[in-house]
Amino acid sequence: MSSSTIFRPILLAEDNGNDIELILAAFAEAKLANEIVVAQHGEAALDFLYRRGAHAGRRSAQPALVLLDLKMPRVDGREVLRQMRQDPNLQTIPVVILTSSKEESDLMQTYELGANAYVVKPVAFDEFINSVSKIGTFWALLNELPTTTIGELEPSPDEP
Amino acid sequence: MNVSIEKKIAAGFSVAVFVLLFVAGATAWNARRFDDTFRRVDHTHEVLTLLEQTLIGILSMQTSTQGYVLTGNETMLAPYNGGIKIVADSLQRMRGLTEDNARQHNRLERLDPLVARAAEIMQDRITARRERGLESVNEAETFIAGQEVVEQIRALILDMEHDERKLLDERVASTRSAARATFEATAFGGFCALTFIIGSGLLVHRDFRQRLRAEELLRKSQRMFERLFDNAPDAILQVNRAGHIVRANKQAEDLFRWSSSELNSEKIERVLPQRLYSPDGGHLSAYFAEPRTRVMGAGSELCGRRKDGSEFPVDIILSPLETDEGVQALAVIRDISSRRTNEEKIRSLNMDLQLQNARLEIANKELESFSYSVSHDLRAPLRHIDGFAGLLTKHADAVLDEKSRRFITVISTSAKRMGQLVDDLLTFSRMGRAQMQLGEVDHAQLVTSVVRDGGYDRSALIKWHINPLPRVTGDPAMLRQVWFNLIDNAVKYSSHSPAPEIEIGSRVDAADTNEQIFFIRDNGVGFDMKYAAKLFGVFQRLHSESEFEGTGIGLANVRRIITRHGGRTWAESAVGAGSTFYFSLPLHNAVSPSY
Repeated sequence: MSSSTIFRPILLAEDNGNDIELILAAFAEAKLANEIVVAQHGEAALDFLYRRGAHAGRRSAQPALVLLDLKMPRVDGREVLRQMRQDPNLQTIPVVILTSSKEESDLMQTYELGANAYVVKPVAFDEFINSVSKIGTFWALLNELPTTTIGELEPSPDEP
Repeated sequence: MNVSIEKKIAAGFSVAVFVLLFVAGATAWNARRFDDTFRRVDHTHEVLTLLEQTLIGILSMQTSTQGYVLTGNETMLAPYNGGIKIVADSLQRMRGLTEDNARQHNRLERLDPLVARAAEIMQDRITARRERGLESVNEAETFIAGQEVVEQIRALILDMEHDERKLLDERVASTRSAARATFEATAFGGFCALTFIIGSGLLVHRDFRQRLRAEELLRKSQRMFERLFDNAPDAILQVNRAGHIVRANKQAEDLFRWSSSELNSEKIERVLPQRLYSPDGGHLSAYFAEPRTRVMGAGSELCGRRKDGSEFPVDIILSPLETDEGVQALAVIRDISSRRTNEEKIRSLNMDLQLQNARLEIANKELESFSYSVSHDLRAPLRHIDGFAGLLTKHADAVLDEKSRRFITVISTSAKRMGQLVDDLLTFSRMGRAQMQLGEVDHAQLVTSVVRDGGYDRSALIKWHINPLPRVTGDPAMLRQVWFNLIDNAVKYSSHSPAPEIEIGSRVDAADTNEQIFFIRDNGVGFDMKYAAKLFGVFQRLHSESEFEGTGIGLANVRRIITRHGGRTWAESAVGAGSTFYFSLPLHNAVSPSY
């Protein structure tokens, strides 16, 4: 188990309340220890990442994973991804697209923008739980990141 | 050798004239020679006569003398006196005649003294008779002397006669030969002249006939030109170097609404406005600088002008025309108003098409966005239905009875099935829209990999017969989908057979060698042929979900893909007797665009 990512939050950018609930249920099923931060639109996600707006003065580390829905109000997932990949401080944070779209064009576009993975939300509940918990387990527990990615402005006081 | 007929005729006539002149010359020359010879013959005859006279004169003198001596009769002396005169006269004349003949002349010179001697002797005898009477008769010596002299004269004259006769013979022969030569030369010359004249005549005749033929051809060609000029579908103007219209056909009159007489000698600019040509006289003079057939004003819009001043678009082709007045130009003018109108129509149709295309594109975009929203928005609630049904089961499992649990299962199953239907529909839509990536497709390899990857070969029950399959152009990914759907169907619908057998093969129909036919045959449940038409429709199923699972999109996908390849799909079956599914691919690939 990687000590560098285990206590990083997971940023979930998802506008649909039902999906949020299902995803959170899946994470609970997976018994992930990471804090899940939910942003209901792209702008909120960017605010969190840039520690501004509602998240101004946020002291926690940058997320170990961003779970990004593509279709969101105001700023959509693609734009969030584009801005992240253009920012040297954010470009190495893993981004997994979690979407309903199976469109080839969406796949191409997001991979070109630098997505790390693309997962279509399964309709079947069991598969859905299974998929999301696997994503969480892999990216939050197994995946290693360079220390610069962690991008801590100030170490969290409760961190060892 | 190529000598003109004129030269041949001139040469023939020259030769004929030359020969005739030669013959005339030869004849004249011969005639002169003949005349000369003739005169010589006359001359000879005269000499002979004179010789005779001389001899006769001498003899008659001798006889006269003798008579007188014997008789003493003075009258007997008359012949003697006449003889002297005749002989002297004859000798005198002969002297003139034989001047050119030295031999005869010499003889004549010798004859003179002999004649003088004979005359002297005779005179002596006459004188002696007169003086002494009959006694002188017996003076034999004088008589004998006289006889001898006469004999000498006779001999000499005979000699001379002989020579003259010989001369006469020669001259007669020469005259004959001259006459013959003249005749031959005349005949030969005449023959030659005749030959040449006949020959020349034939040549002239032939030439004349050729000329007649050439003239006939020329007339025909002229008539053809006239007809072409008059009946051409286009207006034609004949224009001279100065730019004046020399001639116009009926179509030109109709086109420009001028009469032919009005058009003639008008400047070409009256009907083809000045601005066609550059300000310095332009195209037309430039044209005469290098006259060859050319299309005028290529790339620019040319105008014709009617009598009323209205203008219309034209095409003009200029061709050089050789005339007696030098090179002129034939301007063939075509009114292209209708073509312009047609072009306009085509342009407007094209615009319409483009507009329609744009509309189609918009429709297509809308369809895409519809698919996208189906994909994204329709699947979300389904996911939530199943998701929350799942959460409900987990959350309330303890308080739920069997019936409630079944209800939740139905909710869940239905949501999943609808999810599957949505997914299938999206796949189907994608198959119609996706860009085709054409390449050479190895169907043998494709079938083998589908069977292996699908795990169909793991069923020990199924007996596979996979025949050799060809390579045909197509989209490999799409054709893989086709084979997957067909193989999956065959496996599915033969799964209830005790000994399933699946055969895959291909053939080329003799009736249509432009397409390759593939087939897959199973010994499964088959279907009633009356439903064959429904087989390839979207979500059309011939079996219930409980018999064979599936959404009914597979064959619709097959048909859509094969149709996009320009091929056909069909099936043959009978209930319980298995089915054979066919599809064909064009060998000379013509792939239809996406729809």
